[in-house]
Amino acid sequence: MMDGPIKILVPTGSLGAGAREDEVRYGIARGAHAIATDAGSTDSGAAYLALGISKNNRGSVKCDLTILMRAAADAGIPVIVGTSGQAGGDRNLDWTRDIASEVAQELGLHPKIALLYCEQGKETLKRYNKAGKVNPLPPLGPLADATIDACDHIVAVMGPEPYMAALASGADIGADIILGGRTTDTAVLASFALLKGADVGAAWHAAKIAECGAQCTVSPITSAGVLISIGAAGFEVEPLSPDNRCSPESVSAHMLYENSNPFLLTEPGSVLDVTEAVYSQRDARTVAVTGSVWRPQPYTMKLEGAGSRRFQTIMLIGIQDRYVLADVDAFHDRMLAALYDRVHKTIGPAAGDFHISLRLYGWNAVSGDRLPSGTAAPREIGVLFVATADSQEMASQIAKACNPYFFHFPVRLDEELPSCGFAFSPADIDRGPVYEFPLNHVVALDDPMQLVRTVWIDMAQEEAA
Amino acid sequence: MVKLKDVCRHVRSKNAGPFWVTFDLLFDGPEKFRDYHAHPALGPDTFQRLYGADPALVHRYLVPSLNMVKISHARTSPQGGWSGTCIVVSSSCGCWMSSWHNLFEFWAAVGTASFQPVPVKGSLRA
Repeated sequence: MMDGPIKILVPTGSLGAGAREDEVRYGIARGAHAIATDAGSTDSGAAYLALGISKNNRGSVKCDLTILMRAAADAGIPVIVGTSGQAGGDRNLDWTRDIASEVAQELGLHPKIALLYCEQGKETLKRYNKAGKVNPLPPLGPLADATIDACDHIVAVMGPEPYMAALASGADIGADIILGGRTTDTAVLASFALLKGADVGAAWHAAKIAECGAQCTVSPITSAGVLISIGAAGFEVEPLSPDNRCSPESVSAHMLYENSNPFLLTEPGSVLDVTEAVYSQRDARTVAVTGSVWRPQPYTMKLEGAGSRRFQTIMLIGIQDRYVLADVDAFHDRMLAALYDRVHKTIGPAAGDFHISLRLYGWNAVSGDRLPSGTAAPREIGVLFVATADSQEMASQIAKACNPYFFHFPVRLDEELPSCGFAFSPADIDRGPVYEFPLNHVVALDDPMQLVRTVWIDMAQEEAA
Repeated sequence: MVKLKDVCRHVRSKNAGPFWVTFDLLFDGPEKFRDYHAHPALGPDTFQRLYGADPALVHRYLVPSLNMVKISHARTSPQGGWSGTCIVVSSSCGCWMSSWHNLFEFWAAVGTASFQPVPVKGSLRA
C-alpha cells in the first residue's frame, strides 16, 4: 500500500453534469492520487443503450473532460471514467473516446488511453444461457433466447478488475486515462484504491458514498464533488467546496440512496456489508467511516439490454371546456371507449394489438390514479393522446383515425361541440420506438476479464506516426 | 389522526434500477420512529393496492441509527415500458426532482391508508 491514505477525487456525480475547476484544484492540492467519475446510469431509460447515444450534449461532456484532463495531466494522476456516454455500450464509449481525443489534441496532451468495452454479442450470451450461466434477478424469470434477440444492445456491467488491469498495465506505465463501458459506479471509484492495496471494504464503501459526488454532503446544491481518503482501516469523505461539509447523517443516508437494501450492496464478485459501519465527524467538514465489511462471492456480471418492440404516435390536446372539466373522469372514459370503437370500425383487425391512452395532465396523468370525489375542477387540462402499435405506420394511422373525435365528440348531446385545442399541426407526432429494458439477469463467470475487451490508444505514438 | 408530515422530517423515493422503486421515510426523532415504524399503513398491502406490487416483493428495512424505514418494491412493469404512465426519469444524481412521481403517490397512499395527504412542499431539495 502507498504511504498514507489513498485519495480519490470525485469531481461530479456524472461526467457532463458540471465539474468545477476550483473544486478540482482544491482536491489536487489536498493530494488526490486519481480522478474518478461515472458518466451514466440506467435512470434515464433504455433509449440511450438502445441507440448508443448520450443524454448529455457533446459540449457539456467535453467541458468536464477538459477540466479533468488538464488538471490530471498537470498533477500526473490518472482520470478514470466509467459507464461512458450514459449507457456504456460500445457506441457510447466510442463517442466519449472521440471527445477525449479531441480534448487531448486541443490541450497538447499525449495520454495513454485505455478503452474498456463490455458490449456482448447475442450468440455469446445464448451460449452462456444454454450452459446455465445466466440467472434471473427478481422480479424477472429465466432468460429466453427470444429476449436476447429482442435487445438492440446488451452490456455486461463491469467490476473494478478491468480498471485495475489498465492502471497497472506495463510495469509502472499504465493508463493516463481510462474510459470504461458500463460499470458499477462503485467499481469505477474503488478501482484505484483496490489496486494500491487499501482496505477492500473501506474502498467499496467510500466509492458507494461518493458515487453521486456531492449528494452525500449537507448541501448538495452548492458543490459538485467530494474527496475520499481510503486508509487501512476505514475512509474519510469531505466536499471539494470549502463552503460545504459532510455530516454523519448526510454520509450514512447516502448509503441508502437508490439501493433497494440499505445494508448490503451487491457488486460483481462481492457484497459490501455496512451493517456494522460507524460514521463519525472527523473535523468540521469531514466524516470518518469504519466497520465496512467486504464479502467475496462467486463472480457475476449483471446484464443490461435495451431494445424496442413497439411504436408510438402522440397528440397533445388542450381542453378548457367547463363541461369536460366538471367531470374529467367521465369524459376520459367515454372518449377512450369512443376512440377504441373508432379504430375498430375504421381500421379493423389490421390495427393488431394496439393500445390507446389518454393521459390527463393537470388532472391525474402522472400517477394515473382516480382522484377522490369532490376534487376541485382544474382550470384546464392537457390531454396527451398516446397510440401504441406494432409499427410506426399503424400507430400513426390510429392517431389519424382518432383525430376528428377531438373536434367532434360532444360532451353533452344537447350542447355544441366542446372546445379543444390541438397544440400542433399536423396534430399527430410520430414518436418512434418505445425502448425497454428486457433483461434483469446476471451471468456467472470464472474470470472477471472474460467478457471485457481492452483497447489501447497511445496518443504519443499516434502523434509520432 | 396522525399525519405523516407530523412524524417524518423527510420522505424521498427513487428508482433502484429499472425494476425496483425504493422509499426512504426519515422519521423525526427516535420516539416517532419507535411509535410509527411498524405502522400497518406502511405494510405490503398498501403497495399492493396502489401499485399492484407483489406483496412478497415488498421489502421493509429498519435503520434505527437514522430513524428511518426503507421500503422497496418490485415494479409491475419495468421503467419506461410502453404502457406506463410515467418513466421515473432522473439524471444520475440530480434525482430529487425525479421523485415527484413516486413521492406524490406515496403521500396519497399513506393518506388513504390511515394518514391524511399532506403537501410535498419542503420535502424535495430540488
